[in-house]
Amino acid sequence: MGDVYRIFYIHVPTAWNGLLLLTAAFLCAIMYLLKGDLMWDDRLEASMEAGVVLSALLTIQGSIWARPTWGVWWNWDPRLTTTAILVFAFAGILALRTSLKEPRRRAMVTAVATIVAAADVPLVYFSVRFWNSLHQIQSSPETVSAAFVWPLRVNAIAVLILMAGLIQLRAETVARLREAGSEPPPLDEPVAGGAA
Amino acid sequence: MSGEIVGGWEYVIAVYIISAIVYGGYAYSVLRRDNASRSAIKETKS
Repeated sequence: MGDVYRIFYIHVPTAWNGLLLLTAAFLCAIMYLLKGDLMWDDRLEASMEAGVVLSALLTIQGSIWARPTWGVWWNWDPRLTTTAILVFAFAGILALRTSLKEPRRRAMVTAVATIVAAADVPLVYFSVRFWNSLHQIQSSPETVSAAFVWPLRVNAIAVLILMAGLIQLRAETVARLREAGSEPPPLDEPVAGGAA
Repeated sequence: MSGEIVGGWEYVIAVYIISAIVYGGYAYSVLRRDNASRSAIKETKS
C-alpha cells in the first residue's frame, strides 16, 4: 500500500473508540430507563458527545485515506454510508437535547432516541461483511500484518484512556449544570433555588 | 506495476494534523466548559 498505510495507526483506533463510546452511550440509555437515575443521563451525554467527535473525525480520516487508495474522496459504500448515518443520527440527538429544558423529559427522550440510533452501530461494524464493500474488512490480528497489531493496540488504548478522562470530566460538568439549572447560570444573576 | 501506492505522505501528514487538532480541540473544549461551569456557579453562590 505504500506510505499511506500509516494512516491506519490513527484511523483504526479512532474507529474502535468511536464505536465503543457510542455503545457506552447505548448502555447508559438502557441504565437510565432501568434505574431512572439522572447520573446515567449525564454519562450518556458525555459518551455520546465524545463518540460523535470521534466518528466525525473517523469519517474525515477515511475520506483522506480514500483519495490516494480508491481515487475518490467519498463513495456511497455501505461502510461509509452507515458511518455517515451514525454521525448525523447521534449529532441530531445532541442537538435535540438542547431544545429540551426539563431534565427528566430530556433524559427520557434522549435514552429512547439513543437506543434507536444505536441500531446503526452493529451495522457499521458488520457492513463490510454483510455487503460487498470497497472498504476492507475489520482490522484484527487475523486480517492485518503482524507488525501492525501492537502499534494499533497501543494507540487504541492511548485514545481510550484520553477519552475516558474527558468523558469523566464532561459528565461531572453536565451533572453540575443540571444541579444548578439546565442552563449555565448567568454571572450577574443568582440561580433561582440554588443547587438542587 | 507492483500495485503499491507511490508517495502519499501529504495525505498521511494531513490526517495526523487534522487528528491532532480534533483531539486537542475537543480536550480544550471539555476543560474550558468545565472551568466555565465552575466559575459561573461559584459566582452565583457568592
